[in-house]
This record gives sequence, C-alpha cells and structure tokens, in this order.
Amino acid sequence: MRVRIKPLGIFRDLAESAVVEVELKEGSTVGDLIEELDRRYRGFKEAATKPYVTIAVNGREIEFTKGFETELSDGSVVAFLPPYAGG
Amino acid sequence: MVYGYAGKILRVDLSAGKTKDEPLDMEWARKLIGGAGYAAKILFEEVGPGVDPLSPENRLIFMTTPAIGSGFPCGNKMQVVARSPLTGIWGDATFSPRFALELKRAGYDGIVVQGKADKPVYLWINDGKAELRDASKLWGKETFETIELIRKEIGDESVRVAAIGPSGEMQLKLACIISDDGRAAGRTGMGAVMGSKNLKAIAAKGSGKIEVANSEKIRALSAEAIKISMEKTQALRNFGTAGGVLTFEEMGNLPMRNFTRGRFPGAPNISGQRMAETILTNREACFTCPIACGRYVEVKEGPYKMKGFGPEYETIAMIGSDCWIDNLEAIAKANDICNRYGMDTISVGGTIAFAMECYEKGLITKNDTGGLELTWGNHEAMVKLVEQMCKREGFGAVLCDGSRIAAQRIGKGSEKYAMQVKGLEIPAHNPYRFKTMGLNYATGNRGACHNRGSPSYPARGITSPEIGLGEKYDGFSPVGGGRITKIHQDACALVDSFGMCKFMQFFGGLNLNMMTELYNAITGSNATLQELMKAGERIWILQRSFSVRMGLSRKDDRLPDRFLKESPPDGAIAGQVVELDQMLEEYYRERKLDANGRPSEEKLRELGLDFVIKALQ
Repeated sequence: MRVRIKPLGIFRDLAESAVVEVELKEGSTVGDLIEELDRRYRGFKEAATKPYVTIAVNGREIEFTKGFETELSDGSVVAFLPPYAGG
Repeated sequence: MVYGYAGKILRVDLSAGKTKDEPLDMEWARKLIGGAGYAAKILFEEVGPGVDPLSPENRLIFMTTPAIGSGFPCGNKMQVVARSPLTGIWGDATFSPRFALELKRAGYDGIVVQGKADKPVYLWINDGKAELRDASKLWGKETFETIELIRKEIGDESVRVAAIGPSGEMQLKLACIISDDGRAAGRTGMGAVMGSKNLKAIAAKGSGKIEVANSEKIRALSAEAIKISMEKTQALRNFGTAGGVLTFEEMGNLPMRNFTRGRFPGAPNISGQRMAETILTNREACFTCPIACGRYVEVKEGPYKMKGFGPEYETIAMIGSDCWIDNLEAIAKANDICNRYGMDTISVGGTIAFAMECYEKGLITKNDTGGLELTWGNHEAMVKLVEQMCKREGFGAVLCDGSRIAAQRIGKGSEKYAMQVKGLEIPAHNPYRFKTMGLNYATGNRGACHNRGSPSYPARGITSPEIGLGEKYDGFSPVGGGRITKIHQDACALVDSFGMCKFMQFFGGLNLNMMTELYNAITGSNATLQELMKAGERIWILQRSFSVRMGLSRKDDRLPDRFLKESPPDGAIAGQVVELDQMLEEYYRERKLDANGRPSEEKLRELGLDFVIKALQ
C-alpha cells in the first residue's frame, strides 16, 4: 500500500520535501512508517518521538487512537507536526 | 517604595480640557494585578448601563502592567479598555507597543480618559507632564502619517505614539488603535471610542526608572526563560505566526470558507513559509522580545504593491482562508490598508466571509455591492471591499460595523451566516477542531476571542501541570471542557493583567510557577501561584459582572447555530459538531454562575468583590 507523508518544520528539512510517498506492506503501523522514514532520513525517528511532536493520521492525533501501533491503510495521510502557535 | 508600578494614574477630562494625577490604589493593584484587571474596577464603578459606548461618559482606559519595564523577555503587554461599541459589553484590546514602556517611565501606570474634546486633540505625556494639543491638522490622516507628524511637531523622533486612523475618527465599530511600531489594540472597537472623544493620538516619552524589588532574580529568570523558550519558538522566529497555517489546515483548525470547510488547497500559498520565500524583508520584535514573530514585508510591483508591517496568522486566516483567498500579496495589501486606516483585521476578514456567503446564497447581489462580485476567493473584490469598509464607502458602509450589524442591515435571515459571538467575530481557531475553544468563544468576556482563554493549548500539547492542566486531552472531546476552559480563562486573565506575551508564557514554556517568581521579584510580594490564579478569577468575574450590568445573560453565551447543527464535509473536522450545551452546564457549575449567567453572591464574596453585589441587584 502507498501512504502519503506531510512533513512540516524540522521534518520537512529532514525529508527535503513538502510531500513524500512511501510504499509499505499491508498492515503496517505508524511505528513501521517511522522506521522506514528513519532509514531514508537520518534523525527522523529521534525527531518524531519527542513528546511535543504531533503525529496525525488523516488529521487525527495518534495518541487518541493506538499511538505508534495505529494501523495505516492505502491512501492514509500522515502528518508530522512540530509544536505550533498562531496568534 | 512601590515596586513594579509607577504609582500614578493620569486622569484626562477632554470636555473640561483638564488633566490631573491620582495615586494608584495599591490595595486593588495587588488584588487585580494591573492592566485590564485594574481597569475593570474603574470601568465597573464609573460606567453604568445607561452610558452609550460612544458618548463622552464612557471611559477609555490605557493601562500598563507590572511586567513592563522589568526587562523580562516578552513582558511588554498593556491593555485598552472601555465599554465596547461593537458588543455593548466589556471591551478590551491588548497590544505590546514601545509606547507602554514610555508611558510607565513617564510616571504613569495608566490613563483614564473621559469626556469629549470640542475639537480634535492629541495627548502629549512627557516625564510626568501631560498636555492636550490641537490635532485639527491631523484629523483625516492615516495612522502612520499621524505618528510621524506628531513626532515632527514635538521635535523628537524617539517619542512613542498610539493613534487612530480615519476609521476611528468615523467611529466605525471595527476601528482599532495602532502604535508607531505597528502593534494593534485590535478588537472590540477601542479606536471608535477614541474617535468619539475627538482624541486622535497619545504620545509619550519618559526617562524615569521603574523600581523592581529584586533585579538579580529577574535577570536569572530572564536567562532561564530565554534558554527554555528558544527551541520551542524557533518556528515562530523563522516563519512568524503564519507558520501555523499548514499545521492548522492539516488539523482542521484553520477557518475555511466561513467555517464551512475542513480542507483548503490554497494553504501553502498563504503560509509563513511562503511569506519567508517571497515578500518577507525583515523580522519584527516587540520590546524585550527574543522571539520576533512579527513580519515586515514588501510587494514590489503590481496591483498590491505595498511596504509595511506584514500580516499575522489571524489576519491571513480571516482575510485569506476564511474567504477562500490564497493570494498572499492581496492579503498583505488588505492588512496594510487596515493598519493605515486603523481597523481590526480579524473582524474585517470575518465580516467579508459573512458577505461572501450571503452573496453565494443570493441574499445580496451585484446590485447591492456596487458591482463587486463577492465570490469565494475573489481577492480583487476583497481588497476593494476592505478599502470601502475602512472608508465607509459603497458596500463597505454596510459591513464596516461588523457582521452582526451588517446582518441587521441586510436582513433576509442573513444573521445565521454571521460567525460572531456577542457581536465580536470568531477568530482563527476552529471550534469544530477544539471543542473547548467553542465554549471559550461562547463565554469569553469580550465575545469570541482566542486570547482571553486558550483552552486548546493543552489539547495541542502545550500543557500547564502547575494549574491542573497537565495532560494533553482530545480536542474533539467535550468531556471536562467546562473545567479546562474556566481554568485557562483565569490563567489568561492573570497573564494579560501581568503583561506577559502568551508565546513566551505558554508556548515558550515559561510555566506559571516561574511567572509567580517573576511577579514576586518585580513587586516585592510573597504571593503563591494559587493566590495569583485567584486574582485571575477575580479579574474574570469582575469583567463578567460589568457585562451582566450591561444586560448580558446566559442566552448570550452561545455559538452560531452552524457549529451546533452543521458539520463540515471534509478534512479532519468532517462530521463534527460542537457539543456546547454539555460543556456549558459544566462550565456554569465551575464558575458558580447562576441560571441567568450572573456570578453568585458566594463567589463574589469569596473573591472580595462585595461592592459588585449591590450594583448587580
């Protein structure tokens, strides 16, 4: 299956792209995806597992689903979001 | 010795053309901290329900805060307070101009203006001396031109000034006050109140020293604050507040098409990142701020050619995505027009989005708009309309007093498309995404405001364990929303009245225990955080009491029906509604408000606000 990654802030710097597409095997989780991204982009896992980083699958934060065990499906959009503010 | 305060208030009676000094009431300064807290007591005691907001009897209060002058990073916020002409209830606007420091160094914690001058004047405060000067030649001038002319007349380029533009002179209910360094006391129509008094500007210069109790401690806390906040605020520094556009669009927090959509394909085009790649020329910082989230931009050519202070996230979202507009240059131009005329960009954007939806629904046509095609995303029409609103010309004359009044003028059931609470347009944090923000808008003391309570912070991971908000909670859930919102509103009342910027206080990681240490180091007090949070609650309840006296009741604690009954079709917020009533019940219990929305006698006594009880009977 193919999932779409939206890396913002530091994650965009690491991935050097606004959008990344990743091919994963069926049943893969957010944790599997992070491992794959860490293989491609050095330091991605360390940045993604900091407590103040938000990871959202189709706009839903993973801490309110199954965390890193959250399963992905074909077409899922996974956003990696650093802390954000907006006055 | 008074620490952290100048110790004096300047009284200005414009009708009599006189000024006088009065001592700051230190007992109430301790109970209400400063800023909008201290001003709340003055407004409550001096402005009764029969006072029209635009009459000479209304008070216009400029109030500084204890943090100003301490040198602490981001401690430069002050407030302007009056009965609001836009909402009819409590009105205030916070900004962080260098004018605030000059005012305090000139010897004044605040200025209370009453009456109306028989011709335009400006107030010149110079090291303890106050003088009213003729402003006839300034009337009609734009804000920044006014400021430059005042500096020229005084003969000192370093004088700091807060001024209104032509929109304030015309008493448009969306008019604001702008400082020489481009900061806006934006919301609730404070510029209109200033205009109603024929007061064009206030200029200040001071050389006095503001005494603090423990400067060594303040220095140590400052160093710690900078250390804690630098990494967390890096994105704000790089991309400004608009750096949040992409994240907020992804999360469904961005307002899109008058809050009817959950996706906006044009978001990358209006992001802070795009701004940094295109029109950004400089980063701007408020006094003592190491974050520098402000922007200075230039559009070098074309119809939107401009050079000036750049749009913030709120402006970009309300004038941009909420109107389905993704042209950053057009937004920058509209922002610049608002700054020069002195208009609140949040309410201007929200009101145009309202008009665009009315146009889509056929409630207004090109015949009504003077030929403007108010279709979603039409940036050319938007810029023209902004200018018309600022000048009260054309169809702008229908919209220039905000969406609630515009809906009354348009009729035909259009009020359901006005996204406002108590008359104040809903700003750029989406209640569908963070349900507590909906409750916060419904109950906010000045109407729908994202700053007099930001209960979505903990849901975004910006937690405050020291006040019982230590867990990141689910922003889609209404459970516990009443408690969370009440606590965050009290905290924000405290932080505002103390003078801290929330980008340092919450977002930057300066927790409220550190703020308590800072408060004590500045004022020489020995307060606990619990006592300061109680002061925050006291401020909140006193402001609420003012509005109750103006006729506010539970029926006003509402959101537009859209948020309760209609769901966006796409994005992260697809299928959501705001469970307001459930949260409101809990909120009323937490606040100890009675069934009519009035603070209970028990609560008023507990907070030492006994004088309010009789006035509310």
